[in-house]
Amino acid sequence: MAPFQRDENRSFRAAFVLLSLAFAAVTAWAIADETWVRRPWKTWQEAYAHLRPGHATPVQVAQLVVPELGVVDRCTTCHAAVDEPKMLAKDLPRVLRTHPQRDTLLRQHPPLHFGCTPCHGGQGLALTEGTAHGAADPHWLEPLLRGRYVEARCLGCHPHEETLAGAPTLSRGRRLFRELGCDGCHATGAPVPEPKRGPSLRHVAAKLRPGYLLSWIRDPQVRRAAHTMPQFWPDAARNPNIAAQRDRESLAIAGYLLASSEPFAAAASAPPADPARGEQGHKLFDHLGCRGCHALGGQGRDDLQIREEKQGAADADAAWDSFGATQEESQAPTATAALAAIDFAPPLGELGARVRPGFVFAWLQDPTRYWSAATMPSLRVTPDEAHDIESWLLTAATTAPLPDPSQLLGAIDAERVRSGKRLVGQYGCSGCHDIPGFEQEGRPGPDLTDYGTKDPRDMLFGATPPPREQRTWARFTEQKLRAPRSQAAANVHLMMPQWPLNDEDVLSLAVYLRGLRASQPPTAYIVQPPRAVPRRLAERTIADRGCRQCHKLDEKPGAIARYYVDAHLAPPQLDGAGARLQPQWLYGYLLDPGPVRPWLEARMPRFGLSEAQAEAVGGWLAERSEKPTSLRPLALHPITPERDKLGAGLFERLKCVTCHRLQRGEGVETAQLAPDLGLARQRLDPAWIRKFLEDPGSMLPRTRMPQFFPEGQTPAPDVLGGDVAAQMDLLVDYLMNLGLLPVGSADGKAP
Amino acid sequence: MNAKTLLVAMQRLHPPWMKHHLRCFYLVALALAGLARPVLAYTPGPVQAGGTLAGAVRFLGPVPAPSRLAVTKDPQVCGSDKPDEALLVSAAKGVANAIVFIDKIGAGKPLVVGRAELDNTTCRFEPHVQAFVVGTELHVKNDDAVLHNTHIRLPSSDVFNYALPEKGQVIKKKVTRPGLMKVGCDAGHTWMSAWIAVFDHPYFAVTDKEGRFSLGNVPPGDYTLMYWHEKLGKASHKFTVTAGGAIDASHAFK
Repeated sequence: MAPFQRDENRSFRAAFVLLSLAFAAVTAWAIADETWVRRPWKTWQEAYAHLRPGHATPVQVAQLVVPELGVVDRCTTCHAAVDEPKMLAKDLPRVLRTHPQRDTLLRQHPPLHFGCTPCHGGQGLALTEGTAHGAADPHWLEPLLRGRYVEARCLGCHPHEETLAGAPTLSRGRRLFRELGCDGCHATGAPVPEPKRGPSLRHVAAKLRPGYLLSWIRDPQVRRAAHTMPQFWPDAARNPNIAAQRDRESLAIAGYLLASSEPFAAAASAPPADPARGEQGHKLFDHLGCRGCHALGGQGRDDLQIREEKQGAADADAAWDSFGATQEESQAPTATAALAAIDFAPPLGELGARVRPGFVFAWLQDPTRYWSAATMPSLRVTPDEAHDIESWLLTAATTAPLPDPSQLLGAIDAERVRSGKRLVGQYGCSGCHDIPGFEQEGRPGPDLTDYGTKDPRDMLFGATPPPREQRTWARFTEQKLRAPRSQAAANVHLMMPQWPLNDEDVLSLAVYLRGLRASQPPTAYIVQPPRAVPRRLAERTIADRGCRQCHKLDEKPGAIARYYVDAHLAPPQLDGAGARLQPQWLYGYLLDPGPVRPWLEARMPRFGLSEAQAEAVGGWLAERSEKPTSLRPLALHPITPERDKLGAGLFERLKCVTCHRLQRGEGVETAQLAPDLGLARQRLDPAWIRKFLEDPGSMLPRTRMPQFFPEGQTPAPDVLGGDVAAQMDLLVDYLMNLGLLPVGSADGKAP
Repeated sequence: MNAKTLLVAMQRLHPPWMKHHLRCFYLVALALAGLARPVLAYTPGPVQAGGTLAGAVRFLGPVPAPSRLAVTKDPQVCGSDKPDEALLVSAAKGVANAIVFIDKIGAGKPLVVGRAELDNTTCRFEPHVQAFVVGTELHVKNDDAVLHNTHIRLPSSDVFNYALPEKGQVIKKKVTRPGLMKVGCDAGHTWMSAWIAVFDHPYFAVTDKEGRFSLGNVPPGDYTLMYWHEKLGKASHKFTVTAGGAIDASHAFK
């Protein structure tokens, strides 16, 4: 046994010696490596210490630990100067520079509470550039977000804000995603599904002429440049097989839509278009404000007609604008810029070729009868007015060449209708449109709730994929958006249609998609909209219902403003409206508007807003004005009969009734120049009236309201001892108490 | 690589001479921009042997018959109609109320800052066209027993907008901005209109009833003379003023 035991001891010893040597070698290698081989992060830290002596910490691995987010980030080991204010010089290497926009971004997102990777992506624990940024580690699924993709992760904590000032690309992408109707087909984890983006097709046979319907399905690009309907056979022009498929399938789809369409009673009872009413209809179209949203386009129609008509009265304006060298620059918009601006609503130039008689008549009176989620508001037109406008739009329009569908449509049989129904389902038409027979249909496209974290190895790059290292998330997504069918392969049939997107659109949408993640940050990190104003609802309502088409907002005049030479004949500005108007009044007005400025021809439409929308828009306007009235009670001064009489006297003395009407008693002739002051008590904020009296032009630029008390002087030095401030206070009190005292104590007449 | 070599490498990327070069480039660019900009500031001073630009503005086209503007408000004070003063042509085809001025003149005789008047009288403005220099005190007066509302506008901004509710009321206001201003009455008197041209130099004139004007004491040099009329539009001619010379600077609108 002894030799065996000896042998065993020997082999054990040999193993021990070998392992000891190996251990010594590893230790020596580690010491040598640590001593002589430079770690890049040490170089950066030493460079930083050299640049900012006294400011840098000793050379060591730095890490940020944020337990709430489950984050351990060692990024600051190299990026040591991120939160250091003065490392801004452009000739510093980027790794040693201060975080861009540190004062805003890092103040709002302190690294101690946010770490780095929750916003930027990347592998927080890694200490070399390649693995930390993720490019050298194919198994790390969330590499550093580069370029404008860095905005993507903002979405996680800011889901409620419609626009984020620091993330314009993301904001744009999110807006596009909604406006193009992407969420009709794809879920994104948003709690409330959006109303369908496209118009209802439930009564489409009563709306569209069959030939137009067919040509629109075949290729909407040909019919209208700016719209959101995608192309379903994008390669038809290049590939004759696809062209044949398009001809077959579009006919079947049109066949199904027409066959399944339900009757629309309101249009059936319409009187026939009457050319004699055309002129009146034209006038109504110009003056009601239709042009704020709709261009005419089409044949021989001048979109700038109103402006020219109005300019006829002021021949010299052109010479006025360019008088001498010292003159200010003219702000007048040019015709081309004006025309390019319109794509908010369909142009109406070829309407006669597009819609069936009677539809416009019914639509104008109440768009929601045809489509309950119609964006088009009710302009409060009478049946007679609707008849006038239809008569003009249908008879005045000349027909552009359309395919003659009569023979094609004759070929629609039961078989074709059946295949049409199948195609409507396959192409997902019901994602955007209300279509009979598809009421219970879910979203036809894949769920994108967690798309931002999708592994590129699960993405199909098409029949001829790029080299492995180029198969990235961004490459696939951008290509998918640009040409959705281009990554098809033998067994991969892609149904997504194609939108005409430019590079900016593609990038914006991709950045938004990159931000979509199933896992949410902790609730404490999610930014709640302040003061319970549902900001997104307000901003969406304002964008969708086209408030900016008519009203000046954010210092940008409404699209309709170019038709008016006199700014005060255009609809009023919304900048500052929150300070001007009382919230309760604005809320009521948004729900059910009535005439406030009788001299305006344009009519404030009834949008059919929900109460929540009206409240949100009112709150949003108030929040943006310097002095939100919603936060403080109205400062009403109770008025005595004597003071009321004094106020009435001053009101008469200043001849306010020359322009303003007072609904108090019958004494005042209607004036078409300024708002009815009988409404002021409910409508206007008293503090605003006071400021407006002081200097009207500073509150409403270019208003017709004059300054009554210029340079601290009053035209009535004998009232209240000539005290200008007291006189203005008196006028405010008088107006805010108008109608509260019994008529007869002061009746609006001179004392 | 240690920090020092790193810094050296960084300096190579952005050598100091490049910065210097850039600085020079900016300086030159600024200087060029300064030269290219029109000289707007006017320097008054003594004029040696100034010349004269004088003449008449005429209109050779067909003169429309004098028309009347309908009064739509306050007829008890304003009457039933008002004369249209937009285009007044004399028998000798002279155009009244045209403004003639030297464009972009940099130096010359001193500016005379005084006062000017704009009366609201029986619902028309008097004078219909006037011109004065920056700094002039404008007295806006209401002679009528109705509210007048004198709104003075530049093409893209307001100069002021004053209410004159009292008969005999005068508001005095120093006009501090140059430009061509359009005057209207916003109290519903839509027919009321006037023009005021404000200059930062003294070389301008409003033509009289016969269309005549005269700009004296012009320093010798090359000038562009501009002619403006509210109906006839704009025109310009170039003239060379010689020491003590008198030049016929007449213009005929066609």
